[in-house]
Amino acid sequence: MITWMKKNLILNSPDNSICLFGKFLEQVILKDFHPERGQQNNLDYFFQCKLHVYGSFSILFIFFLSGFIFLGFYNGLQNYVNSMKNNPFTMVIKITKYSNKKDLSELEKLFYNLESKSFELNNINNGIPVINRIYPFYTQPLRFLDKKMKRFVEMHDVLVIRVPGEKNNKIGSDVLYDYINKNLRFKKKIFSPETDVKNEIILSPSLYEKIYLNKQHEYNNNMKVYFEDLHKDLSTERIREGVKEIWEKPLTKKEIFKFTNDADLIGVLDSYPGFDAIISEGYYYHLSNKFYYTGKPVKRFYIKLEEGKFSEPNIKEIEKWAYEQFGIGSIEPIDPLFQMSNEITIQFTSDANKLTSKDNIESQFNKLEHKKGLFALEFNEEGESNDYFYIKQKNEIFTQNDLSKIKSWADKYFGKGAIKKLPESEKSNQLTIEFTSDAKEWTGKYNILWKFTELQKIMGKISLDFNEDLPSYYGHNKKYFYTLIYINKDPVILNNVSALIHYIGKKYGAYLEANQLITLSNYLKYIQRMDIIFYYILAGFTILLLIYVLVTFTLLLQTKRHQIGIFKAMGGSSLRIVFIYVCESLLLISLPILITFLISYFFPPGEIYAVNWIYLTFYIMLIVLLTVIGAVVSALNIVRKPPYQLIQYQT
Amino acid sequence: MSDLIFKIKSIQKSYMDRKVNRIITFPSMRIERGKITVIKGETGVGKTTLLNILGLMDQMTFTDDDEIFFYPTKSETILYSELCAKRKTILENIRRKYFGFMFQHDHLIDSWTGWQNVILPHIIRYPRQSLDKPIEQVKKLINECNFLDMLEILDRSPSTYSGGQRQRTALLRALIHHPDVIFVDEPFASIPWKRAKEIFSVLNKQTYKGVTTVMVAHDIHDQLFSDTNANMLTLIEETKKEFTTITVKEGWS
Repeated sequence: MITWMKKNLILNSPDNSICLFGKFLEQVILKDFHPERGQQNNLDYFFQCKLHVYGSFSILFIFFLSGFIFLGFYNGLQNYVNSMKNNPFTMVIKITKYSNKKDLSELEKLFYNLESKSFELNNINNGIPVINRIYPFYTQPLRFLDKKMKRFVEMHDVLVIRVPGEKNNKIGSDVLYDYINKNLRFKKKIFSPETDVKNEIILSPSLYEKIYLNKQHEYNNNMKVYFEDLHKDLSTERIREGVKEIWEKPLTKKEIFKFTNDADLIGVLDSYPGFDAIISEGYYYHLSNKFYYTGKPVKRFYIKLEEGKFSEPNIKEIEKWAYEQFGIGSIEPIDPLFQMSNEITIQFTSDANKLTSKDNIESQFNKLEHKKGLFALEFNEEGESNDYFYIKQKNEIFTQNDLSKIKSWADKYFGKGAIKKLPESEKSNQLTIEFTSDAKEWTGKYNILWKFTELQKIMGKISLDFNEDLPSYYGHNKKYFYTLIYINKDPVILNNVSALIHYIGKKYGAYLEANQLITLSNYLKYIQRMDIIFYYILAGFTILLLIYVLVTFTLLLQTKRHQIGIFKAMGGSSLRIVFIYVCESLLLISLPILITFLISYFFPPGEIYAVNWIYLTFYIMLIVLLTVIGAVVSALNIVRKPPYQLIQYQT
Repeated sequence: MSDLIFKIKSIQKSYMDRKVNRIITFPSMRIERGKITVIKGETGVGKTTLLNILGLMDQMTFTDDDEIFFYPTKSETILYSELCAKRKTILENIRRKYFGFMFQHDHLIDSWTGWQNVILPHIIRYPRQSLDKPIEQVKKLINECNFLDMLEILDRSPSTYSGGQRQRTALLRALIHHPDVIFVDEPFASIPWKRAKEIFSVLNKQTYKGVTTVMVAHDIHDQLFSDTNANMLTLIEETKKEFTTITVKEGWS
């Protein structure tokens, strides 16, 4: 085709200068767009020679811009709907009600009876399971700080969720885990398993940009997000201290320590609606000081009788309690010989879960309330050596000087090389001292405490802590305010969503907002409707464009009849004349296409708008094709007439 | 027998006139090579129609006996009946290669400059040449025709030209690609006598190079041709209902 065109249409001259036909083509097109003025005045020249060109430009511009924007919105909506379709935060029924997980788990036994066409809480023969998964959660408003450590006046809603553990774990590998993992903008491992309470946060793109004031802000592994402590009020403090700029003034180092908490930014989650950030439930409890987490696990604990010796029923009762609270496999069987003693040792097995901390054992021990006064709980851990401990300072960070003092103290009292290398600078008020195997002294709790008094004498206001292991969250009995219910995507269930909402609302006294319910069937119907509308609009647009191009070029070429007649009289080939006007028509559409493309690409009209290169290419090709068809049909209609007829048409 | 370039053997042309199909029949005629042939006749007798048919701008209505023989060279014959039955590109080729046109209403393109108008046939005929050649050609032609004042105006749009300047530009355009036959349709209708004489003299000079001119003219310009050896064909019309028969009278009346 190209060779044919080169040979027949755009030939080069023997002396390599541009061929005359090329010049001719250029001349015709140039003069059609910018004709010689002659003796016409400005107004006549504009109306007779320019208006049709500018008019065509304007109409085509509006035409193409509408098309580009329509395609952008269509694609944006499709993307949005698809993202919503895959979004576990929206593909749910949201219940607003105080309820605990145990109660909610009852819903997992809900079936739809195909015969009676009703929902039942029994596993019936013909039933379809209704609920796939249940997520109870909270929302917590937090006040964040930007990167200049200035507080935002407004609060941001943080979703507090029980995040499933790692993949392949029993609870892991589910909708929420997959969604969060797949949609993190930065590829970093998501939340720790749910029993851990790590200070980690995931931000929404908008909050991320708000905090870092830059869309392209580079993410690194050590980014921290600061927010106000839930229990402290910086504004009141600033008013009390007479600080005028209550909001505008960035927080001082001291204020940061005293009034804020921080969390490690582990990622930005693209496209999730409704919330500004996600934190784990364990971290939320940690922040809100509700103490529903446990500390370092213990290997055993002791129950004592104040007076007398244990009887057999006593031992059986305690054993029953221990099995219930910690699981049968977690406790070594209690030796019946303890009935001769006033102290029972409850020994955890190696299979015991992480909920064997002092705090948790104490809280469970309170359940033996009817025996209160008779039984006493004891932890006799003093004799155990410690692998590490913590040194804390209030409201001050450790300096280089402090670190060297601690090092020489440890070398002196526990032997050289007894502790692992300390960091060169520590930007917090807490320091971890970890023993190596070279520690010569006994690293038991009392020994460390005794030797720590020497360090206190050197350094002043410092404190010692043995129990700062990352706490584990234990929340089986907690009450949640919101619940996300994932329903079975079986068409029968999807068609009975309204009935299901009615059932849950009535049965559980829950509040369900109709407008919060967006189900898959709704999405699919939405997409289907959009597709139909798209095809209708596209078909209408194609017909309209074809008619417009045909009419425009036919009218335009009518004014060129005289000129075409002269070309033909001089022996101009019909094919070349058609080619000239095809080129001219392509030139006429190219500028509106370029401008509309730039406008639609660089000035998107809304958030839902998204450019799709496939649609765009298709659209441009359609325009070019229709234009070529329009120009060829119009030009052929004229060039097939004999020259004497054409030449008589004088403009 | 003299050297012919066209031999017309009784041709017909049908056309629609107020929903009536009219047929005009032209008699046999001969046009000699290298001479000016002037076609005269009353208004509406079909002078321009005949010129258009000969110049392949229009098609005749063929019957079995009708034919136009075109002899581009002494040894070559082109039959118009065959030509019109073939693809249009062949007609375009012949127009491009052999014919030049000068119209009654000059038919210059006003949105172009004079230069662009003049070199148009050259561009169409020799698309592979560089642009310098036709410009050189126009300058040479202007010298030859003694139209030196034209050099100053060719940069402008023809809409700024006088009638005489327009016709001279049209003449340059007709000659630029060295045609064998120039068809001239009443070129002197709207220009002063002096300019008409000038143009005719150029056309007359072309006959020395062997260029044939077929010209439509009116009686009032007879004086122009009196000193030349131009042939004269006068068309006479006889109309019976929708049939018009033309007879031709050769020579000076």
